[in-house]
Amino acid sequence: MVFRSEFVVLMPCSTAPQVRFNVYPCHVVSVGVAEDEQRDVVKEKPRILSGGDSKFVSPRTVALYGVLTALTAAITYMTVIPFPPTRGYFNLGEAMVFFSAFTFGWRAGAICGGVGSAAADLLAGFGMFAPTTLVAKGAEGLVAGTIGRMKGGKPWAYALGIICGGACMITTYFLSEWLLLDFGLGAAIAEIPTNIAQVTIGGAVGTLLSHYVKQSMPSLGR
Amino acid sequence: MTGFLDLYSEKDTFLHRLDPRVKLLAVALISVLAFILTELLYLVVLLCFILLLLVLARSSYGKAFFALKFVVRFMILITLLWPLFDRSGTPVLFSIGPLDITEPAVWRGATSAVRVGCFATVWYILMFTTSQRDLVRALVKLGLRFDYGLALAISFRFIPTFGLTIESIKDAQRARALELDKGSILRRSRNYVSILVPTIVYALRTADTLALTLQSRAYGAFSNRTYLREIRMRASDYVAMTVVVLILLLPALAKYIYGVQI
Repeated sequence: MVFRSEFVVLMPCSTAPQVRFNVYPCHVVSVGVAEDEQRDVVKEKPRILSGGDSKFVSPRTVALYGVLTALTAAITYMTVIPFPPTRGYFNLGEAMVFFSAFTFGWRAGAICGGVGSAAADLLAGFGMFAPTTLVAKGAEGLVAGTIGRMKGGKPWAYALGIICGGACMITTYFLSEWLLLDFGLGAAIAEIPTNIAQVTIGGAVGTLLSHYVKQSMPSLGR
Repeated sequence: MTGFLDLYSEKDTFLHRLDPRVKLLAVALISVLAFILTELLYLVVLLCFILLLLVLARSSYGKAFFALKFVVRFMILITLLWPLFDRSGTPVLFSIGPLDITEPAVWRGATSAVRVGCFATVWYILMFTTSQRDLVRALVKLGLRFDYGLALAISFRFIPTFGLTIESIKDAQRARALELDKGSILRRSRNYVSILVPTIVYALRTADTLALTLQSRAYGAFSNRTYLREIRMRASDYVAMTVVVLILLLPALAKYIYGVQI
């Protein structure tokens, strides 16, 4: 590999200050590395200076998971669709979980869906749901990512993934609200129709998102 | 926007100075305590204790009101719905058609509502007094791998950024005659796709740049990471931890060893 971390540690010191602000790190990295290779460098495990791979995941994975988690939380938070029958709890965060799962696989779906939705709960002040959300949305992302990407992502696989993932999520929420958080059977049942609507619409929008984003960023498939 | 992107506010109280690990422990143990307690009176005492801590944390009124509004709405919903599904018990208060509202069910509903109130409010102690940075640091100290901790820190940092991105793309698409407030809910969700696609593409490009940035800043170049700021347990943290453990332990002992009805 051409690139070593030493380059960049030295690089800002040797450039003039006014240049430093204009130069993005990616330009620095491109010293002697072709663009395709650049992409691949960040996909590999980081190397320890003393030699050998480190135990950490690749920078690409860290950045992607971080950004997808943030997106899930932000979308859960920002896209509350006002709709009277559901008391305004309805949001498109579900779509992001399915999008992550269908586009980047079950691991991204589980981690980004679970952690992102739990973070949205925490930040918005619904902390008591955060542990449940972590499990429910994580399981949803995991199942949807596993089933939805069978046979290279056929439409029936997507549909099956949405149904199975959604069933996991709804069951987890129901059991948690009924038995663990002790809301009572009534309040737990009252949540189910909202959740079903959310999964249906979230799944449909998530599939559309996955399709369109893959179209506009063909490099994602690699 | 439905609320605040961060409930934390910068203050200087003993709760803010407390080690975040102790606060996480406190949230877990007080939640367990709320499970153990079954009498309405003691649950109300616990709820008052949590609210007292919130007052001591000097949270801003706007944030506290926003947070408590949700909790109170939930508690009312549970109190109302519980008797409808639980028809055991003898003293029937009144009947609406086939439904019998019994007295023990009403009490059980109230108990459950107060317990849920405890579960909900105890998290605010953590969220009002701990910055996101400290939260991630505490999780890494507690054994979360550094790389996943970094991903979590990145995500916390980008949530407001992407929130603003969504807002501006929403405005841009509205200027191009996108309607978000009309039609059925399916239609509205479908219209959101034209906002979410640019947002996601923007975010994924950000991720690419971010990956290169991480690489160029020598991410993972050393297997033993050191930190500029370490969180350390001080004497006062140990005292607080003891108090928190005792708060759970004493009622548990009273209930399970001595058989006191609490």
